[in-house]
Amino acid sequence: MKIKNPIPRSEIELRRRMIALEKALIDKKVITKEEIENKIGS
Amino acid sequence: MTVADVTIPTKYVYVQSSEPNDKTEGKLWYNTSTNETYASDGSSYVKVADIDLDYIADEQMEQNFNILINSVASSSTLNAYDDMFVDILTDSDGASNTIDTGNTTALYNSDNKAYQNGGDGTIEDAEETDVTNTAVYVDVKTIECFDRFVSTATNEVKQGVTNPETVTCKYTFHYTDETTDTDTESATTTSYVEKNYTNPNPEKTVSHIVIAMKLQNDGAGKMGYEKNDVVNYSVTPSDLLVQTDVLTVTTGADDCQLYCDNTVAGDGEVTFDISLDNGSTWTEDLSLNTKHEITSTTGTQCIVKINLNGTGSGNTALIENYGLLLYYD
Repeated sequence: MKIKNPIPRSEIELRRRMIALEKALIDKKVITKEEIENKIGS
Repeated sequence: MTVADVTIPTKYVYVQSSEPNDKTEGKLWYNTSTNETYASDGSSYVKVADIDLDYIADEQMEQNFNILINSVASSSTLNAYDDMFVDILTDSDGASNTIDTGNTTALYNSDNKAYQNGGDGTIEDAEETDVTNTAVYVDVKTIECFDRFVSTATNEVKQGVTNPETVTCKYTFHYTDETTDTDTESATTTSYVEKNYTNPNPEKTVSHIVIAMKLQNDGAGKMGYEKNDVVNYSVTPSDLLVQTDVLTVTTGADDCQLYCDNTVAGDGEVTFDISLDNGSTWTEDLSLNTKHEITSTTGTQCIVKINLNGTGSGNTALIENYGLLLYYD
């Protein structure tokens, strides 16, 4: 059974940019994963 | 709060020992003699347990799919997937018929409604068979055992006349090495009684079992019956897989993720391989619940191999369903 994500494509792309931004910040050691989790929760 | 006036309805449920004369469709009758409930179809009362309840199973299945879809979606970070493909392993080819049983090597366990890489299970054959008027064995049933280790088996046996008579049921174990051995049980009752059979050589794998019956005498009208055969087997765990049929997908998927409700023990684990070009190239050995880049050739013909890995006793892996997520950048 195939199900398309009901979330609008624009919202999905926004979420992916947030995920990529978090990864970039952690990779460049601008911020640690722990600091992110302390601010916004895990 | 106010309570509106209501009209007390006419009698809807009859509680009595005799069938009500009122056959109005939908009325209910509780039979005080048998403690069973009946519903009228407009002309007669039908036992509720005999009414087709498939629609409840259909609604339950729909709910199970919705639970699975929610679980799979929540395994994706921020639900940022594009397409999802799901199936539940309520039978060997899946509730949505997406399992390629020809290329699947894992064992289907009908008790758990799951695929597994080994361990204990049963092969069941409920069919009732009979023999008539014979004092020599007549074969009535063959049960395929797929070269598995078999320990014991049970069935139900009875004879069909009221005069004292004995029916004997014989299990012949045909081993993979083409030797055979037997165990027999007898019954004298006219109602079914459970019988237990023991494989004399449990160290040998069994190809199939042939069940035969005979009667004590060959007089006319003498009959023997058997049904509900259950063969208990065990399989030493090994690396086996569940493969999907070709799933038609939009070309160009960049990433994938797989969810399975699974149970593992010892060194057992579940991984997966994915192909988007009908099995020509593969991205392999991927972990569950993690987004992976697809490095093999893209396309529209997706096949997933779910690997149930674990070798030797105690190293088991079992899955009850799957949910594949595809991502397009």
